[in-house]
Amino acid sequence: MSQNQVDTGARRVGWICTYTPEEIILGAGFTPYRLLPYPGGGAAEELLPPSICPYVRQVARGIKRGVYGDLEGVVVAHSCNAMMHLYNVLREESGMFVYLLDLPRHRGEGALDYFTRELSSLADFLGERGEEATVERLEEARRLYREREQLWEPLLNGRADLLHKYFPLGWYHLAEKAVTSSPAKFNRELAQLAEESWENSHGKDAGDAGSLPALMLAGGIPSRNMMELLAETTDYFLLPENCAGARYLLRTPPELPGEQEITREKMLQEIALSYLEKPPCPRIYHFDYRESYYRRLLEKYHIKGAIYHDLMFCDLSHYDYLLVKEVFDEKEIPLLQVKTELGAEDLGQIKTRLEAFLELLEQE
Amino acid sequence: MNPQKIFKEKIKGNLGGKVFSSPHTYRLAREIFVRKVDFPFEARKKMTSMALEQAAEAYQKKRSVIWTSAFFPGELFNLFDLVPFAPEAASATAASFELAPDLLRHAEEIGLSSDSCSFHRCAAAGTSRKYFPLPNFLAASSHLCDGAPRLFQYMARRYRCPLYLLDVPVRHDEAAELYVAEQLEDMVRDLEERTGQRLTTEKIEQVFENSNRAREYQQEVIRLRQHVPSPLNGEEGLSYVYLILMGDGHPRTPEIYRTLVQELQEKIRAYRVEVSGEKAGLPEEENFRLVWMHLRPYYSGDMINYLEKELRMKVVMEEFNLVYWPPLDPENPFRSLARKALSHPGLGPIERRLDAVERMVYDHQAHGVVHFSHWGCRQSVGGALYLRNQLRKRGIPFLNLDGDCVDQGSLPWGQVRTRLDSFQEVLEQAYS
Repeated sequence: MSQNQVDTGARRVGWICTYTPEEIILGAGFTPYRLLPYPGGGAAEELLPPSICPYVRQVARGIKRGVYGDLEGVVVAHSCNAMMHLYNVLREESGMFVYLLDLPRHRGEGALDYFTRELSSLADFLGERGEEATVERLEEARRLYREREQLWEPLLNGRADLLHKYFPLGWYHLAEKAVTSSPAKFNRELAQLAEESWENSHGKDAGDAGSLPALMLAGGIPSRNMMELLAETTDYFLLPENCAGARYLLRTPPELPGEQEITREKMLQEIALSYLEKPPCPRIYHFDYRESYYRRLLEKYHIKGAIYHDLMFCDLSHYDYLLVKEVFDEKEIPLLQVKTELGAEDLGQIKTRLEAFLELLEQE
Repeated sequence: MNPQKIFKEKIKGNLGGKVFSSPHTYRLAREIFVRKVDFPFEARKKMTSMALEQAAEAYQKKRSVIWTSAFFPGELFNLFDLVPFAPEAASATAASFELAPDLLRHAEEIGLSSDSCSFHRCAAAGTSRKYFPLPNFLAASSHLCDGAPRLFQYMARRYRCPLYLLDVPVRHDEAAELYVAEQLEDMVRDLEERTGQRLTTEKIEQVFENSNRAREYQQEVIRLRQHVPSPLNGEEGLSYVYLILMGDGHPRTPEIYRTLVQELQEKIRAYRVEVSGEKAGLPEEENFRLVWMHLRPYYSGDMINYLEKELRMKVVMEEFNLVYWPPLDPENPFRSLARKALSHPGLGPIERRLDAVERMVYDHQAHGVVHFSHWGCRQSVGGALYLRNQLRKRGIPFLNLDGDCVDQGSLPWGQVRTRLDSFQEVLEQAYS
């Protein structure tokens, strides 16, 4: 095994927020693994009070109960107040290392400097517990993410038919697989699919995602159950504009360095920038940036309607709805607001409302 | 006499944008709230007068108005002589005038989730109803709250105003200080351009002097409250939160705290006279001394009155009145304000908040801690279980009271009363 080989798949470190740099976890010898809402997660109130984000409550309980399997540690990105409480609880309850990664809410030079320093501290912390995150190892990690982006690009931008063939829940499914697999292994699977299917298939524009009538899912992270319900109930192409979809899949990893030697700091800065510039979550303070991202999606895809998932007890979702609604109202795109606590008990009311909403879309 | 009731009757219950923007309203309010109310402390009277003048100024629009939220370093507004207006304080006022239920219903109508903080829901509804003075600027901080900056983004779009959002990191190191200081400097440069005022060294010295003098008196108030029995109860203490929100660097703030210091000193002298037998009567009864976390309901004083007057468990210190920041340095204004913002004990991992509450308990010889868990406040409520467990390990009794500062429908008084009674029994057992 080469000294710089990363991603053995053996030592897993959990992460939650899509502003967590997977490249650094990988570069330090761990396999990043996203802690997603899980079936049967429900309201989960034993470690955190009921008025805190249900996703965070589920993660706390999931770790305590071993739902996510063996983890060596968790990186908690401070994306919101609830995450800080998760960090407080996990340090007490998890029995593993827990690292708090601070995230700026601004973009721009000051935020980039601050975040680069944060990433440097994260790399040092993880390096002490795994492998030293050297330039070479970070470069190798970066190469894997760059390669992955190139491999899934045809699925995101051209071949909705193939996307659904291999990932029945569409973008959500692709992202779910990506964040819970070893990147090297996942790249090999994607490469194999490419070789078997989309390279050899005919009619390359069949199922072009941009031309299909689509239903956008905006707002907070959905449960898998919710995505399954949506996939069962509608034939529209599902476009999840959330951190289980576009906000994760559409980040552009930094380009690979050319001939010139690159310093560790420069590399960390480029990684930091790629996260600060990714499709923004409502936690970022520049709504104009977020608005332009929405407008790009609305231009690129044939959005017939949208569902806003107002995740309960998530202030970011609650206020974002008011702003997003303005954009959709202006474009005269129908918007359905649904509230959930990420539990199966929410599905009945969503199904009824979704069916009524789909009927409305058919009449338009 | 209920001054709120009298005021509402005088204006025939017709509260709204027109009433708020009329100078007559403030003459009437001053007449009722300042002249006729028998304040237990002259300092409180002065503060009420200042609050009414600030509100009148905000509606009269002779100077530019800046909307602000809790913990934004308010010295910045005074550097530019801007009139602050705090929608969160307006929500508390709305609750005291029983306007909150209607505003909370309206907040749901405009699409705002009932899970969010009722201070902010009322504020969003008040904006929609045009109750508030028009802003020229808005400023909020990420400090402890995810909701306020988002609310302000929404309001800034409605009013098409410049918005200053201060991102305060959870670490307190050189990088964090630099990041915050640069943001503050950018805000000042932008304000200079928009207001046409150049910030001078003299102005910085003057505003920082106000802030530092107020801070010294605040520290003295805290020290005086450590006296047994305490000269200031929680009902009074919590009212000074207004100055935390609106008084940073204001020329009248030091004078209000100075008056309070004098009054507390006099009260303590009177206690000593009583104890030495030179005057008939006993010192005010104080069965137990408590530290109060977060705020209190603004629609009713029942809870705190019952606690302090019926059960004689006196709140001797509040989390919101803690002086947690170092003095401001006019030589390094931006770094200095950044240090102030970063010093907040509620920021970052919860040990900081735990240390602060432990220190308050120790310094004030408190017997227990009451945490009022305002439903929509993620920062405060999220830490309550941890604080309870840690304080109990240290032998400090802890009572968590679930409720809401603004939404009166969410505080079942009977249950609260039972819990307060039970807590009294816990303290009696612990200290018997």
